[in-house]
Amino acid sequence: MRKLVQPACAFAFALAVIVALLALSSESPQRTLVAFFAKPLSSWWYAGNLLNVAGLLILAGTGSAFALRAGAFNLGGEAQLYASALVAAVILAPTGGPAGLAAEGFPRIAFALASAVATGALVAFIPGVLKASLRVSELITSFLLSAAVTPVLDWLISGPLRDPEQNLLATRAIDPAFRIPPIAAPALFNASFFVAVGIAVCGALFLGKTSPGYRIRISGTAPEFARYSGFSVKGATIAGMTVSGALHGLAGFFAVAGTWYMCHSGLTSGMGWGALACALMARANPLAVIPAAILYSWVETATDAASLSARFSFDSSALVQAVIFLVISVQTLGIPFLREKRRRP
Amino acid sequence: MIDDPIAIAAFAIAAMAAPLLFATLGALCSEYAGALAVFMDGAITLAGFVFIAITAATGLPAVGFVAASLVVTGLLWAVAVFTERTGANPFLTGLGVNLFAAGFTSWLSSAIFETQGAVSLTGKAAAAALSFPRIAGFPIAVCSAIALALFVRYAKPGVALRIAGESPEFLAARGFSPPRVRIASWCVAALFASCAGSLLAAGLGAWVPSLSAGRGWTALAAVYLGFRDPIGAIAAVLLFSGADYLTTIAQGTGKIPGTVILGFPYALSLIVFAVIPRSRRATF
Repeated sequence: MRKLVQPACAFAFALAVIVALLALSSESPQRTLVAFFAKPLSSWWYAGNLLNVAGLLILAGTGSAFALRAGAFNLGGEAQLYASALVAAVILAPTGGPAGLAAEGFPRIAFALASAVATGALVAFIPGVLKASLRVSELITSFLLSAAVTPVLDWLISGPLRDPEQNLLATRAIDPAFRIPPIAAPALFNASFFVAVGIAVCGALFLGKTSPGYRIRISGTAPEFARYSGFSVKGATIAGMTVSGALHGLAGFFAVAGTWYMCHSGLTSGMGWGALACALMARANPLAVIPAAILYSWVETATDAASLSARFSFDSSALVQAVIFLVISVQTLGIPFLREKRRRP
Repeated sequence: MIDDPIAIAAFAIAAMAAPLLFATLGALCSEYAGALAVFMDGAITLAGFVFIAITAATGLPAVGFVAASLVVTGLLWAVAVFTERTGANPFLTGLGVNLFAAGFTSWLSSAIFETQGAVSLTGKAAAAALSFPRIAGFPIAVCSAIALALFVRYAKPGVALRIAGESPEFLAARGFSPPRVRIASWCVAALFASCAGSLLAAGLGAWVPSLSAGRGWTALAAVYLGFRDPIGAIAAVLLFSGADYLTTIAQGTGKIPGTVILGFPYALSLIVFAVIPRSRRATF
């Protein structure tokens, strides 16, 4: 029970900040707050879309949790998601992408899936290797790499890969044959949610019940002990980051195949940071990422609904993430390497 | 009117270097105290917003600068106290500041100016802000660097700041409180961030959400490229600004897309972090 106190406080503080700001900026605070608390569950459209976004967050959040467990901190989730989504959108476009990739049906969607996962993994693999080989902190390299890659992706979407027939800054819509259909329209909720839950469960089992999972956990929490035991701490770091990127890549694939059906400029809109916030709230436990992602998605949906009601919009997700980061960062968190390492007299 | 292309380039580089040098000096103070100034990007963005909002309300850029300094210093003081009292990870709290700045300025710009995009100064306020010569920022920043260099070498509190990160035990033995020195370092960093943010906003006559354009992160790299020394920081910042100027020229020729150039400061910082020896890197 005590383990729940800190994540619960982080969530409660974030909720309080958003509610206060919405109430302050609305001409009718009562109506806005009613919309905030009631709208997300008032219709299947809201609830289904909430769960759909939660599914993407569960995948990426499980990835973030994986890196945390391996003793690494993946701050490049934004670009890993974005790059993977772009790769998926290009491969699944109606004309078949580059010559030779025009195979239809299962082979092409499998190729798109594998490419998206590989792209996310590659973007995360680089900071992992830099940490393992040059001992450059992945905290800064994963962020900087993500920030450097994102404008290039923006340029590709607004330039060479843009759909010339649309006014949107987006790639062409993917072939309808490759779209994951909604389970109950009009909400976008689809099978990817169940895949995400399955992967979170498998991730928890892998980390908790298998020998490689044990090695990764020990390397993350007690690297010196891991070295004495003959485990490769460097290997665990690289593996943790790569798997983390791969899961972000999978989320990017589902974002295109199941939600937007194209890759538009700024597609992730903070989802990478949101996934990290969920992983931190879940104390890097993949199973706990599931409720954390649903709660996080609920706050986002509720804020959107309330903003619509108040005709007032702002970047609420950044504030939610800020509060969660601040509260979760305190030393009582049960992940040893997150604790402050400075020497104190 | 200056016609000499070398002089034009030198003035442009100096104008680009001024806010970056302020940011680097702020990051250096935090680095001395043992924490990477991850918050610098958010602090610059927030300072720029407060500068524009208060200048728009009063028509006085000086009042805007003072307000920006007070708000950003107050925020970073609170976060530094929180970090010290709870033993929080300063990297995470720094990221929290960046996210808070993005979300809070978004809310304020919607609530006050009814826009989520650029907030421009108009009329006399714009004229007053734009009348501040951009080139004047560089000599002020260089003087600040020299003053900081003298402070950390010869002043007792400056020496305490310089060794706060590496030898907190020694600092405590000399009668200083390491947590207080660390908190003070964040406050000084906030003042420098306010200079950077105000200068950037004054140059544009507006605030935009991407005001800092990665300068906070470039500043972190410049700290190490400048050998963790205020005078070295001047050289490092001029190097970064020179590279920035060249890419701007390349952008003008149409050979490099403008969007791609937005990622340049981050790529350059990444390269610097990857190539500098571990002994000169942060302790985060």
